[in-house]
Amino acid sequence: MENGIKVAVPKGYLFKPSVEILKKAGYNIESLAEENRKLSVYSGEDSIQYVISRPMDVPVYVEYGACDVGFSGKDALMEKGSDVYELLDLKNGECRIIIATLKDCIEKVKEHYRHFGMVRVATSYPNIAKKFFDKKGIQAEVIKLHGSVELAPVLGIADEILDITSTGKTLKENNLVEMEEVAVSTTRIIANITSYRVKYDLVNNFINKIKSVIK
Amino acid sequence: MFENKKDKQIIKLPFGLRDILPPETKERNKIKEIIGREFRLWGYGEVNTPVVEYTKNISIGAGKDWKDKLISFFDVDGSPISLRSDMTIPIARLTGMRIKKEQLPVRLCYFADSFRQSGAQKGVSRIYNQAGLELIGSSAPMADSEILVILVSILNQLRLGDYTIGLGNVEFIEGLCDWFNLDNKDREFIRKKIITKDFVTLENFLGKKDKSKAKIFIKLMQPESSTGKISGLISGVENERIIRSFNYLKEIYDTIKKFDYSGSLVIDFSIIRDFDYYTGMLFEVYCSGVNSILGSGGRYDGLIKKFGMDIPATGFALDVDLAHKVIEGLEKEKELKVLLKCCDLKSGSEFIKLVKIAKELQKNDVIVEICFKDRDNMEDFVKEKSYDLLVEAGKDFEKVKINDVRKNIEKVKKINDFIEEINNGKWD
Repeated sequence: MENGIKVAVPKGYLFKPSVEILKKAGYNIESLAEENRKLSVYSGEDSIQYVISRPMDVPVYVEYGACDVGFSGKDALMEKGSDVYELLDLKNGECRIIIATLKDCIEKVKEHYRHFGMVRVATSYPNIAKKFFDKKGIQAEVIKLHGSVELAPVLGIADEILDITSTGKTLKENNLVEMEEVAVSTTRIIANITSYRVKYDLVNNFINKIKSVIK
Repeated sequence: MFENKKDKQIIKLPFGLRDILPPETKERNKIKEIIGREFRLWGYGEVNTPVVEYTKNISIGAGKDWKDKLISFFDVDGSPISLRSDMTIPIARLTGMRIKKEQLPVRLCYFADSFRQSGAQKGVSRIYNQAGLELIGSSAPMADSEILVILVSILNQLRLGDYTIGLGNVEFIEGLCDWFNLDNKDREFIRKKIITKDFVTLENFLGKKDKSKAKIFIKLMQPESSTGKISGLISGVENERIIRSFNYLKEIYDTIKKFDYSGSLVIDFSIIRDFDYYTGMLFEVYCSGVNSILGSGGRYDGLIKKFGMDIPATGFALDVDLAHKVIEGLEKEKELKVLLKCCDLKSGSEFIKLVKIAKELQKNDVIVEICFKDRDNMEDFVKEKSYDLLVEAGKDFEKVKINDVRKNIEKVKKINDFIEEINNGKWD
């Protein structure tokens, strides 16, 4: 691996668009296209080791140097607060981070806030939630859930949720309405601080190739 | 040897601090020895300053968010005091207090622990063991080159094969901001985004001001080893400050290139430190295997003025902990470790005789530990503590029984003969 780099690619909905961009940039993605459960594949032609990981772990892998560069959603970057270089915005994988509550509870939630001076928020992004409410000067009790956050208001364990949405379908199906937008997230290319300097020629080459194919 | 003990009461250290035990200390000392020798030979004198100083002094130049970075207390009279967060500020303070203009330039160096606050959850160390130097009183690029030559020489000797030194210049960024006609608020924003390495926001922000200029800006932020390419990029930029600061850096870069270095050098204008005091050339050292910056430094011409003396200075610091992590195969010093005992040791004459033997052996740099108590599992004990020889004096103190644990040989010899053999290096 002396002359190659390691690239972290996220599983899930960012996987396809990321591979698509690699393909457009002229990389051989055969090893990634195979339907198997391998978490790490090597592409000899481009001297690239691909590591396929959970989206939230991409910034962590890159920060600790397990990978030199990676594809990461801005939401994961914001949540992890990782010390990495954010080099490119791929402008795809777009989703919005929003605050939502039950359709007929907006007034109730506001009243609750007036009464107790605090809100209870369920989310899988506790750090983003904390920062957001801190900035607004609102005391928030943040409850971390590992998915199906939309259930929380229905079951009554939280007044609001902070979650990502792209089409709004899940929100609607669970009778939730958006109250506020926190941020818009797109896919970014991130780089490890040390690799960015020690392997600057390889990393720059990779970045420039990707840059040439994004709109 | 130093495993956690089981079934004991739980004792904790405050987060981000740790104990360093003999094997690690030994290796770190070896690193410090290599660094210290280089410092000494270039005429740098070691200084020590107090670990705690007045917060108002320490906070000078520690950056805008110094409150989040310093570990602070109250003195008995209520004055806020803080642990030093680096050594550059205390040395600037010391210079302002004690150095006379006639003595300049002064060359100072240090080996010291500094402290920085961090979040309890982050698992980041709050203590930094640094080795560094400061060259005070010269504004010439040659001074910057001198400290870089020393730095490179140290990195070569530490055999950090694939290190990279990135060179930048704060003035260059300021020049680029002039070129964009940015006000102070925007400059602050740009600096912050460069420090947090958010190039996406940076490009979007500058793109709104001028798209083609923004493209050049981002290109100039990429690490580059060819000065020709940078010259090309800035050829269309008519800004005195940018050209001057680039030429300053180029002079240093070309000088360092003339000397042997086993790593690589790049120019990287995105290097900005979160300490406010840097004013010109600055640099960082990276090494694959560590995810933080191994060392950093640069020119800080305005800092000492804040302590009453307007003189330029430049310097750097290396993180000894990180260096220790990446260094493989420091030459192990050959040393002989002996466990010395006699049967039925009582204080008094027998102990005195043992000490006398020990002192004879130590003349040859042999490490001698005296064994106070016999134990049943002597062999296990000797292995556990990794002694080379187990030497047992006979009752009459004329002969010794030598058990060479490494080779599994046992011999009986007269004491004087044994000492003679040690002198001749027969047991090494």
